[in-house]
Amino acid sequence: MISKSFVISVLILVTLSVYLFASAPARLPEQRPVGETIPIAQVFNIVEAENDVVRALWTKEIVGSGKQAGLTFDEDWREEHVQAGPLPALFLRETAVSLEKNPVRLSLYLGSDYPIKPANKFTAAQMEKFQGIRKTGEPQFFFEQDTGLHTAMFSDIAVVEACIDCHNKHKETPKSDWKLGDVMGATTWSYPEAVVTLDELMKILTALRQGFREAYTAYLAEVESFARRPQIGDKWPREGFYLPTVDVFMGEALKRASSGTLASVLTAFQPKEVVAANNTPSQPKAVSAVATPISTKPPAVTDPQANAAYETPAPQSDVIQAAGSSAKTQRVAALLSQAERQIAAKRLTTPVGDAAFESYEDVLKLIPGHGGALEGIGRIKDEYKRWAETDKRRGNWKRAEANLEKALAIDPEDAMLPVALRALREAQKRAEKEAAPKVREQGPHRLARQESFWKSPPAGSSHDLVFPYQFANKIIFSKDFMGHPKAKRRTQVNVRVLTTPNQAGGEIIITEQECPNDPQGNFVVSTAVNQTIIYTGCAVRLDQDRFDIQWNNGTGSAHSMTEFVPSEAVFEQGLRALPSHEGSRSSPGDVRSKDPMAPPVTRFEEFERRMGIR
Amino acid sequence: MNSVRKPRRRQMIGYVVGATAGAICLLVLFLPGQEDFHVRGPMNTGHEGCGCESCHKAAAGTLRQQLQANVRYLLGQRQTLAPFGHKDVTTEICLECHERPNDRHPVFRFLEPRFAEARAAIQPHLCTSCHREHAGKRITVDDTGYCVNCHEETKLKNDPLDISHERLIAEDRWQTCLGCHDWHGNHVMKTATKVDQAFPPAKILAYFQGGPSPYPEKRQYKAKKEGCDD
Repeated sequence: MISKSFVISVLILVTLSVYLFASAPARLPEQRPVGETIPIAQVFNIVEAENDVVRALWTKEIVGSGKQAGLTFDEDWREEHVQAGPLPALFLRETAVSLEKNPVRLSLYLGSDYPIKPANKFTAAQMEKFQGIRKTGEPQFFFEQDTGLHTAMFSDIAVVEACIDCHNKHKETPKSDWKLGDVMGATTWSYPEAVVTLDELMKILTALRQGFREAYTAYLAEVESFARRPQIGDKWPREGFYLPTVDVFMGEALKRASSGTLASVLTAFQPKEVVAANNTPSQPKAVSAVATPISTKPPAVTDPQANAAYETPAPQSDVIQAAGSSAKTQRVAALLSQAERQIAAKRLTTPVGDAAFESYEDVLKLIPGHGGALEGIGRIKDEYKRWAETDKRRGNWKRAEANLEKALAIDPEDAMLPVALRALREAQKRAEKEAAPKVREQGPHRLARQESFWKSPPAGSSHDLVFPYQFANKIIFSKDFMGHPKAKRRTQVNVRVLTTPNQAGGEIIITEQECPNDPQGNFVVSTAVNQTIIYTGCAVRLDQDRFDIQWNNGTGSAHSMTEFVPSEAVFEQGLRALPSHEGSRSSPGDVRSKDPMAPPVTRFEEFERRMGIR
Repeated sequence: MNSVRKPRRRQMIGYVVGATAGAICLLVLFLPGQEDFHVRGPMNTGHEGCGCESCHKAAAGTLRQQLQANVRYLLGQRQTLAPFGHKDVTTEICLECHERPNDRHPVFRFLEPRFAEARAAIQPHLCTSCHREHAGKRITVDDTGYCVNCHEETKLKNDPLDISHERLIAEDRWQTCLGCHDWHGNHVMKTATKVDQAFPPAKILAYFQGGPSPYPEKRQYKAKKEGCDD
């Protein structure tokens, strides 16, 4: 006989299903639209091209001609007593501010290695990327781990006399010998998604154009307060003491920018019928020129007039060629997503025949200079550099060197790599000299052994917690342990689960956006043997101190236990029970006993005592 | 018969009492005007008049739509979880009232790659790093010397200050910065030219804690919903 409670449960479930699905209200839209996508690098190329066009318009037609017509432009243009407009860099800053007000999360910055305001000087990794631009003239695409933003940097070239004149004569300038054509700095763009749908691209472009509009509107508002006001209408400063209205200015800007943008968009989102109908790889040059404005960007320009070639809209025939280009796009999309999978599986350059690098090379064969492929190759290189960095920290010199050499093989022109290699060899020599047994960062991080750290982690800082568990291949941080967004005590913690630090293997690096929370809100870490996983920027709540570990010893027999952070003794016991653990030199216990700095761990000792571990 | 009925009746009474008590608790907690029972702490200076909804905005859709979306997510038919009840309080929500065109240190500025170290140290890209709500203070950092995170190389060629900025920096006198400059640059004031004219750090710290402002009352922009009184 069926029990009453079973019937009631079934009834409740049926009622719920009817409530939620059968008589369902309209579905909530997804937070991100779905559909065909293009890589963000291509989007950056498009917005950079538009920005270049509009900035050139501002610089030449408003600032350049305006000065001759009697208008002034000043860095303090917003001050009440100053009757002037924004200089080109500040016009860009106005656009950037407007972009930030927009819910579309495209960001724009301008910086330099010799800025007038020291606060605008590039530092650290961004300076490194900028040196890359200086050297090659090519834009740089990279992923910023801590903010989770995809980023692009493009050179900012001195195109008119006004740029260098003002920068050379400025009383705060750190460099007074700028010449026309110099790379004076770089624009930096960022966006949170790796790929973008057509719908999102339209929103991005609308936001950017809104930015230009607002920047120009702000200038006209300032002009209203001038004692001597130019006539605002459909005339330009080159015709006299005039300024165009917002609509006239934007009309000209879009006239110059739109056909280039349209061509790029059409190429990026080619309809499949067109692709099928034009299955001939006969015009790769036209396609690449339109698809990736990188290659259309002129090298250092010495004649201001020469830059006009870049500003003028692409001829209409380009658009037609772009729309009518071959089935390559489909193949390229397949290769790009294949490469993504290969990167995720750590198949970067090996095995031959199934590696991400080859996939990107294939893309470049189809479309030379393809932005997405170049970015991908850059990512592979960065990945190797990161691995080398990790190996170096762990004293795994050989592997660090091998990884750096692989990075160098990918990009022989990267000037920083030989430097890094030299530094690595020197570090190795130094380390070998100090033959004294050194405590490596393998034990649970020293911080983790301090009661105060767990009770009140320093807000807003980032820490590595290292759990060196030889065989762990699944660690579940219960949702009580890993923070949910409203948790009281929260900090950014990089969780590293090291499995076999001294054996060949690799790493999977997962970014902030992909913090692996399962549907129940637990944070689940899974590794294969010989893998290291680094999660950065995942939110961790530190007022609980237990998590579960499941592992197997490679023979398929599963084990599990509950672990208390940071007592590794429990786990060590488990490890010792496993035959293959014997002789392992990476026992966390060893590290701990050698650590002279280990602070008293009273709370945890107490914990362990109560658990009957001691 | 009675012996069978009695426990049943007692069980029913138990259910009724439990349900009533639960309903009363819910009413007390969630009736309008009862926010004090579940608010996390006193509102920060200037926000005393704000209601919960000023920042904790309702999530999109009805309760049923939110339930449905999240069940669909659990069944793998949706890509993202849908916010349930209320949306997270993000920087964007703060900026709805506090965004202004001349912010000297707008939060988004710090999303640029080169501020990675500053982000790790003080998270200047988030409003809540310094203005954690429900603390009953104005600014929830205890140290006024945070300028050190970005301005170690600041030099002025024509330094108007009696002790140069460069020297102040060399001597690690970071507590003096806020004596002449306010972080967001919203106060209308003339910058002092002598270090001993600067507001003392203790006064600034007291201001952080909700005390009187050493900076002039006049400000260039007011929050778009001053006092949250609309």
